[in-house]
Amino acid sequence: MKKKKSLLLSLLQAAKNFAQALPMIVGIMLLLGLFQSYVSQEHLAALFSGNPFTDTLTASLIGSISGGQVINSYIIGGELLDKGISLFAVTAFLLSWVTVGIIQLPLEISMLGKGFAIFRNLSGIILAAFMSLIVVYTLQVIA
Amino acid sequence: MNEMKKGVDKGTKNKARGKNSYYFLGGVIILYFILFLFDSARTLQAVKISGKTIIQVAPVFLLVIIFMGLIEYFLDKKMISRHLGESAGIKGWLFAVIAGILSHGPFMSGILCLRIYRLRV
Repeated sequence: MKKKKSLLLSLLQAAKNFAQALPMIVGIMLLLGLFQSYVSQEHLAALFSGNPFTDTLTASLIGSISGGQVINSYIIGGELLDKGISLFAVTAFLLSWVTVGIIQLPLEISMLGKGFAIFRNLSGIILAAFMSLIVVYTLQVIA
Repeated sequence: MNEMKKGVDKGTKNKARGKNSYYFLGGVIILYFILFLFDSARTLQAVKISGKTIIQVAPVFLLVIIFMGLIEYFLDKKMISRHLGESAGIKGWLFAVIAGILSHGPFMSGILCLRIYRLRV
């Protein structure tokens, strides 16, 4: 009969797996710090033209590159709405912030494989734009 | 024999992954040095933001390690595979969706959980 591992060994194994990814995780946090420091909300707002269609695509891309705590995306989304950016674009921004992680891509590739990570992120960008249309149109019908 | 080969492949892959991890961190540190030469104030601000983020997420990662260790200890490999593996079908998919909705924390902790889970199954 196979002997069961001790609890300490199991915890050590999990810690070992984590330690392997730690340098990559720290690197990604440093990259996110750079992004937040160098790219301000004003920079982001300046990228929008006022056309809902192109703004939605732009927002999907910006949300994909941005990262960090989800709460930050609500604050930035609110600021963008105040600056007159369309609800389509802000919704796409929120969705891609949560589902896509371009900066985190190296970590995702290293952990879950190149093909999966690239396909998941690409489909996330496209679906964020598509979902924002559904969300806003549904909201318009309900309201 | 095949299992042994699989184990060796896994070990080699893990070693390569560990190495790449360090190369990536080295590359980011070099980028910081270069940017520091152009705009020291913003780069120092980036260090502060990153430090704050690391402090914020450290307890979450600690919880992830403990949680995954407990899963490793208490749950049987076959049981996890039966309920969440490919053979679980729609039930496994539904469980994953609900677990994802209820989970909270950094995106990276989710990736880490999935990785450890894949190593386990």
